[in-house]
Amino acid sequence: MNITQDRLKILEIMTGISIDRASRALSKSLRTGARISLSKIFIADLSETTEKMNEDQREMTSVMVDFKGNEGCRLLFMLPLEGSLILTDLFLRQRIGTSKAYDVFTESAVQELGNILASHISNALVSDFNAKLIPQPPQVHNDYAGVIFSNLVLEQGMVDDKLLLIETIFEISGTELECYLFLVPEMTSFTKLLDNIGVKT
Amino acid sequence: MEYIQNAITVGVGDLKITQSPNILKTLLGSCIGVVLHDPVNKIGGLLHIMLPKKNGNDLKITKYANTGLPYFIRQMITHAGASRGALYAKIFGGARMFETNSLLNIGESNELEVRRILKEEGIRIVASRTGGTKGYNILFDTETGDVTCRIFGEAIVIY
Repeated sequence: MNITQDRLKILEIMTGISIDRASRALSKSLRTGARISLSKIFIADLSETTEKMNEDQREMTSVMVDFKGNEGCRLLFMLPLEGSLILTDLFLRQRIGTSKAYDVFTESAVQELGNILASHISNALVSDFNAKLIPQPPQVHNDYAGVIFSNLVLEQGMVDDKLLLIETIFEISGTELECYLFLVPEMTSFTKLLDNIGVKT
Repeated sequence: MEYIQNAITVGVGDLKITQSPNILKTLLGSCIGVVLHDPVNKIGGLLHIMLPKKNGNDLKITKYANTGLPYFIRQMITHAGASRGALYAKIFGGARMFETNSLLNIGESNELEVRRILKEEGIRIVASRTGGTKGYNILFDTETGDVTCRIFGEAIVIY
């Protein structure tokens, strides 16, 4: 896998714009500040990055969204199971601490969060960069952090030992939720996307 | 592959071999974790297999059962000093994770290939826990050969 620093920089700008829109949309839905900021975009080694994630043995709830269309990409949001109860309270406009156990409402809240993130990220890329991205229905899954992350990178790992990984910092105001949000663009799609906007570097 | 002194985590498609007393740990979804142990020389290894067969490119061989497992056995014997006759295996993982995943039966294919190769190599499988729809958290003690396995949402079982 070979990507120039210039191309990575452009991807950084595109991602910054799309996650900023997703942040604002999520803040409106939750009626509290949700801040997603780009942590890093890098070429990750499959074994090294999964080894690091396997250190996190917490039980998590996650939502994964596949994007189809001309450009392929996969989004993963996950947070600890207990954190998903806070998220449910925020979505349901309840006092934090009202939800006591993971149930259908929690699952719906996590699913809805996946929908909001995916639709706003794809909208930004479609409107500003001529991408053709269609978010697929979100899939909610509860498991160990490392297992969920391995699923995110499995398909890319079939064709390469390296993968392009977008890591973010995700914070929800007034809470101490520790959330992960990752994006894994398909390399061929990424090249097409840059071609769309006339990047030749 | 690394020879290690302390407990260590194994990533996807990776192999770690160590001498007792050490713990090897990993998390598994559709991947298969193969533990090989020589109880006489107290040598153990853990291979985290992602796919059943390598398809002819230059990718890392330890990701695949058909290339990684023979390599693992060779490394255990020729480099780590394990005795082939003493070696036994334990296998874990191979879950079916996402229902709409295009890799629906990858876990099952991984398991079948691992079992086939171990049989071909004459290495007996003394314990296994495979399948299901949830992840596996495994800890392998190279001193005793015990594998502590916890499937997500279930109680811990020692194999």
